[in-house]
Amino acid sequence: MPFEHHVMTFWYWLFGDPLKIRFLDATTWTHIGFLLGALIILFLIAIGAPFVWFLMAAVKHGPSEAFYLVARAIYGGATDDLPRFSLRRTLAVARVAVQEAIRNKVLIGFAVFLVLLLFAGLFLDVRNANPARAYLSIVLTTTNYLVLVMALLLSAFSLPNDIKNRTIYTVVTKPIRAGEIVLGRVFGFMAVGTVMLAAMCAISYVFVVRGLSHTHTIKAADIKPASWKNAPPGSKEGVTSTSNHHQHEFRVEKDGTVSQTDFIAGHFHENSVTQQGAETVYRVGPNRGDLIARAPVFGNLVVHDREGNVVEKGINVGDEWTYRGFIEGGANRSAAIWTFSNITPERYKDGLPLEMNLAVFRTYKGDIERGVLGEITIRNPNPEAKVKSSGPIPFESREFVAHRFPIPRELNAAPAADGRSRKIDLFRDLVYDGKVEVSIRCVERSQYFGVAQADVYLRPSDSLFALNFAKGFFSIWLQMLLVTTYGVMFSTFLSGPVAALATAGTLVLGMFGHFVRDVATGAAEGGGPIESFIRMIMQQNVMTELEVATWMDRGIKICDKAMMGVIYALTFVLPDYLRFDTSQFVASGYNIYGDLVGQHVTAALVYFAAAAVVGYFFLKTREIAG
Amino acid sequence: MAATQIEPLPVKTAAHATDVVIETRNLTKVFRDFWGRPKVRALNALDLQIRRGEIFGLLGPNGSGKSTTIKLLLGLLFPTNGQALVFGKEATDVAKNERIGYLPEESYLYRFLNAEETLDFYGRLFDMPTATRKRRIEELIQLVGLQHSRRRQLREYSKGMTRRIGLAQALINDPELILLDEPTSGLDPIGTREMKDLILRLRAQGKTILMSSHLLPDVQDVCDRIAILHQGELKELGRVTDLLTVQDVTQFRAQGLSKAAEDEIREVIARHGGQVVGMDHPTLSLEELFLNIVKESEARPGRRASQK
Repeated sequence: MPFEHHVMTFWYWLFGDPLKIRFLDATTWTHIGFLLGALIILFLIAIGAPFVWFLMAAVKHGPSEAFYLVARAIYGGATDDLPRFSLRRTLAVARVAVQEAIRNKVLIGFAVFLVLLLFAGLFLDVRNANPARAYLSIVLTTTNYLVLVMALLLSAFSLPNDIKNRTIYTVVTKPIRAGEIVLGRVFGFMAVGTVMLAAMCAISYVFVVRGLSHTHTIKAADIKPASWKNAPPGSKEGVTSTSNHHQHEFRVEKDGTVSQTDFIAGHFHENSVTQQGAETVYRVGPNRGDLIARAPVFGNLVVHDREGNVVEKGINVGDEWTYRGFIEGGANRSAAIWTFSNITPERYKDGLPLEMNLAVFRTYKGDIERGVLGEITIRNPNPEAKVKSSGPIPFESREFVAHRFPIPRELNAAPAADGRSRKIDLFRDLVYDGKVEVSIRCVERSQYFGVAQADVYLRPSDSLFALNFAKGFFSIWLQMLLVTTYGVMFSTFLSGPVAALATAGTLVLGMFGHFVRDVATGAAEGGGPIESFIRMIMQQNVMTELEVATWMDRGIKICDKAMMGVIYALTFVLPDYLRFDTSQFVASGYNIYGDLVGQHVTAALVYFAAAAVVGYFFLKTREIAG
Repeated sequence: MAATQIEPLPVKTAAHATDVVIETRNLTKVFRDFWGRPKVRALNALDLQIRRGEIFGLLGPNGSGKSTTIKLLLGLLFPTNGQALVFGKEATDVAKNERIGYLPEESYLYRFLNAEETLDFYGRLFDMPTATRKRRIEELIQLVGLQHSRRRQLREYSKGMTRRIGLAQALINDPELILLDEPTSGLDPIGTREMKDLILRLRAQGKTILMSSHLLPDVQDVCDRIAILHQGELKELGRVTDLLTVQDVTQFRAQGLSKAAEDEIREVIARHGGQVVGMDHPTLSLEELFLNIVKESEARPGRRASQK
């Protein structure tokens, strides 16, 4: 799986593109930023929830009493409970929550983690083309699920247990506010979770590094005269011994120096050669290049179709996950053009450190041994510039790996009319206002390149892998915060098992939110819950009409529609857990960039605050001994 | 238990006997089932006034509405009808809890904490600064006599010890008003005596106490006024001495009378138109006997009490 990610700056994510939003046109609503969306949803909840509450209370107490009740709860919350908030009380509750968690043998979760890691070590596919990715995925996913389940169980059962055992009686008869009970619990469980997560992070790190660490040896007999094309006389080539189910090739230049090994199984080794008396000793260094955190500089992508018109996205080559759009190869004007900003000679001394991650779609097999051919042109974004572009630089596509393709400072100019080739300088001739364009074309007819914004980027330097690894765990931490808060929120008005189920429900909805929206809008076939259940039981194909009486069909559709409407609305209220998942970044070796962390933290805090407020009102207005 | 004196509360206002601390007006609680249908009328139109500095007893058999009243006063339950006012404010107002201490029916405490941790936790809930909290915990542990078990988890505590730590947590904030739900239930006679002494001592410090009990002697011994509840209805309300005094019976107690003198007294009563209801030799109550035996045994260990 190549790396897939929609790049979005923090500010665009937060504010969106308000000018493009048309109030009545739902298709433009994708331009709504998080801030506006959150405000709308929170406003609706802030208006709707007290109204529903009022209606429910009115049935029981009559309208005037109900209004008084609701108004007093909200007014009291704002004027009494909020200003009297005490951190000491909150932390006291947090401390007891920690002690309770420890008493409830939360450490068993940790033991499960260790056992899973032990078994993972046995079953991991070490022949994998990219063992680092396999290792990283397994530790991150295992930790993620384990921690979320743990957070769910801890948070959902704690408060209901207190109510059942009536220990809550001695607590709520003290001057503690409902909000402090909710927050204290969340803080306590998060403290336990944080310690466990930190330990898991450290253990996982050691597990991955040690699991991947290996070396090879070189035997004199394995070094032979060079056989590659145009090899200088006297140079040699060799293979290392096999370890971890692979071996590397390397070259020995004619002056006796050895190159680094080739790139296999996601890594390479540095070699060294020393003379010990008459003996030449070759040494293979430790594995390198597998645990990295590329820090890409992304550009903006514009796709041109075969007539040269700007289109939103490339061609869809089939009903697959439509992350990438495809550009057609051959003699037409299809191209994908990335614009990079802040290009200065100080920053990019040696030219553009370009890296590509293109997908390839072949309509015929061609020479399957080699990649599809393409060409890169560096273009000047200024339409009035003297030098419009460089000459085409050919390349051969490589799939499923990040393909390094540095663009040097000195380039060939586009072939002039007189056929003479001139040299141009990247910064002098092509960079305008700090911007430069990189245009990619596919040159083989009827073959396609799949492109998305994050597919071509500059890689001036890498970030620290260990830091990125920690950031991956931080993403899990944010998810844990959400699960814990939702668990505590539900437990303020539901019994333990029901609260746990409800929290699990939000997790599932959060993870399958896109699917649920598709079902609700009719984009996914098979109908709503009742219809799909009937189809499953009766083994009916999703594409055919439901084989039941017409009136029944209509009834089912109406019920389904109502249910899906509710679930659809819920997907906007509940956090999208998939969005917080950054294991892909760590596993594929990409730095989790600051804008993304900012988005996650902001979103998590908003959900956390909203759930905490809801929990506060539920607990405050609940009849504890009822 | 009575080793150390609890530090007296600086009396904030002169203890006017008319200061109303607790007031209920037409207080009614109906428990409903899942469908909202009335199931039990636990308390019906209760009107009560409890004044500063008195010990008020709620008396009644199991299920008479004593605990319900206390829970309504604490805001743990919401009234179906009527009002429960504590310090002149609605019982659901959290702010009143600053001045209240509550000992529940059974001590519902975190069983995985030890005595010190428990008191520390509840002290923090009152936002007490560390120094005050430490001092207070020390005093209370001395007061309830748990010096030797302060580091043991509550799960290992006996019933009596649990009761004591429960009482200590109720007093952590030096409350003005103390609500005790069945304070002597499950205590042995010594514990009961000590509890009763403590209640009286708290009153002497100017605190108001509301206690519920179905153990009649306990109520009789300590309460100034009582309310008798039965099936959620208030049946009787008044001063203990007034309620228990039988106005048309006169009781004499004398020592060293001969049989002849007794007969003569019978005669005098008969001459005045009275009727001798009973004339016999008093017995000790079992409680008194038991307490005497224990006192004796502590003074002279190893001897049977009857061997005088």
